Amino acid sequence: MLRTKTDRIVMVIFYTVIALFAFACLYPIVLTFMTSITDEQTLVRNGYQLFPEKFSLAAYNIIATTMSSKVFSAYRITVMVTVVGTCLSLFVTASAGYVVSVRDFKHRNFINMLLYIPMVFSAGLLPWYLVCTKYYHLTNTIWALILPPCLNVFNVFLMRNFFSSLPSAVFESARIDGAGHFRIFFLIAIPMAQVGIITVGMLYALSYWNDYYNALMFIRKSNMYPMQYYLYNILSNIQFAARQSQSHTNYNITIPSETMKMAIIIVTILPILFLYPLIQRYIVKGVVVGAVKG
Amino acid sequence: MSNAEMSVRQRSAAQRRIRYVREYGPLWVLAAPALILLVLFSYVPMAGMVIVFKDYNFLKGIWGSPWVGFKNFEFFFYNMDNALRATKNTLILNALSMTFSTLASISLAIMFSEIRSKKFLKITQTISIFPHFLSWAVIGGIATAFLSYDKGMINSLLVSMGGERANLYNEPGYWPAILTVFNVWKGAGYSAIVYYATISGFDTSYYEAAEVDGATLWQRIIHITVPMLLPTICILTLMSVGRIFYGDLSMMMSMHNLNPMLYSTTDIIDTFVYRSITELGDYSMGSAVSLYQSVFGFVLVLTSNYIVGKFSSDSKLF
Repeated sequence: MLRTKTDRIVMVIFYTVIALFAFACLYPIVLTFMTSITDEQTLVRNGYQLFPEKFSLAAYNIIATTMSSKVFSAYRITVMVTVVGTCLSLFVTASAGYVVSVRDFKHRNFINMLLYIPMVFSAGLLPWYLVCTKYYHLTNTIWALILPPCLNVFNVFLMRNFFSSLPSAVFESARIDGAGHFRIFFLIAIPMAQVGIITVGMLYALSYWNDYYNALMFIRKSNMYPMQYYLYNILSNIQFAARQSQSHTNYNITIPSETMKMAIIIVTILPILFLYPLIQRYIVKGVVVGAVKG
Repeated sequence: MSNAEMSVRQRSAAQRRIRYVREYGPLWVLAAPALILLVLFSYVPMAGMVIVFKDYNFLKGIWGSPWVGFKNFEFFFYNMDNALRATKNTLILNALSMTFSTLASISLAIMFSEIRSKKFLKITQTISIFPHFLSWAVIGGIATAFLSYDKGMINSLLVSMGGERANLYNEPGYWPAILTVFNVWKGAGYSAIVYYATISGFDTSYYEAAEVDGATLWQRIIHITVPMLLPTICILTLMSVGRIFYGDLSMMMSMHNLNPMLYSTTDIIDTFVYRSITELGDYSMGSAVSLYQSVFGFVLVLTSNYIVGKFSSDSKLF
């Protein structure tokens, strides 16, 4: 294996670089967490530190008390959108993926083409925005957060690849036994493509959880802000304040404070942090299957 | 042709239709939700692109507004600089991110593939994929911990080394680098999986033969892994070249909240269109730039797809 000295040196370099990259990926998140439990005065005095002099849970306290109603409402919207959206997307995607995986369906190519065109040509932001607001009346509705991102064509093809990789003999014998496509889809294809369903479900759930683009476009009422958009608003206020305070005249305006900002980030990514170890292997699998295009 | 023959033929056509409906009708029903969503959110907006030739009036809507021909393109003459700057920035920022992300993810994948310790591999891979699952809103917040003028880590470091504080949030020159770093940070670990999966699929006999011939680790990488990875690299690169006209509005919004002081390097086509709608209320300019982005994007996707097809017909998008 590693016969020469240079081989061993190269290997040590590889381990080091990878460890450093992983560290670089982890560090900002740990820093965010540590800042969220730092005492505000310590932060203002010393700047961001991995090991602050003085800890404080004040930020979480404020979130749990004075800000609780806003945070709770944003969280509720996000959870609702994620749950409803993921279920809907999953159904739409799996059924479309199944249809384009049926080989003897002669209009399959037509549907494929309808799916491909938007990947290649998009109308752009403005017509999309006008159609959604003027004709579908999505402004300030929960559907604005669910419907526009509901179908991701990449995921349809991912799902198709999962269905295509199933043994075709099972489907053929089901056809011979007289099963229709509804029955095959619900009773055979879905249970057999479980890994695919979970993978695509995870991808959708993450994209709904992380989406703030649609909120930026369509949501004006602050009681309908999802978590990410609420976070974005708080951050942009701070950045705005930071820009104004260049002259150092109003140096101490920190409402909402820096530690609180980080605490809200932690609250926002908490579910991802907890679920990540569980869902990670499905996502890796999904990327691999998606890369091997059928 | 006799009447009897005609009716037989008609009946058989009808029967075929019934058979088709019975056989494939369920498939159309299953495809319907996806097709409806596609029509609503992709195809109707495409039709809505006609506003580029209209004087948009909110009350009259897209189809009711009066036609004005090419009048909306006039701004190209009085606002040429900004449109050109947005195009230039989009291309530069995308090219930077693409180059460094690709380099980083290929290097990571090759290194991952040589790691023998399963535990080390699993832990580091899991960690390096994680940033991909954070939203730009979150990353924008995390970034302030590094970039902030008075408290950020970069400035603390500069000061501790005896330097001057850098006003990162107001200095456009730093932003191509900052955005590239965060793009690589967010995506490199994730895109490395694709390359890693490709490498894992390589025929091991090449490596065994090389080992018998006494090739060093480095030689194996340069002479086996890299050449075999080349088609995948080309394909993925070409596919991202196809998207070079499309920027990420949400990234720009959350990283610097469209700070006007940074426009010279960060105002991309997407932010330009967004601003023309929200700040200026100028739909004509927004629609014209939007159209030009779609058309150039389309041409590039087709071209890159055509070239991908030359490398490997399996990897073509369509």
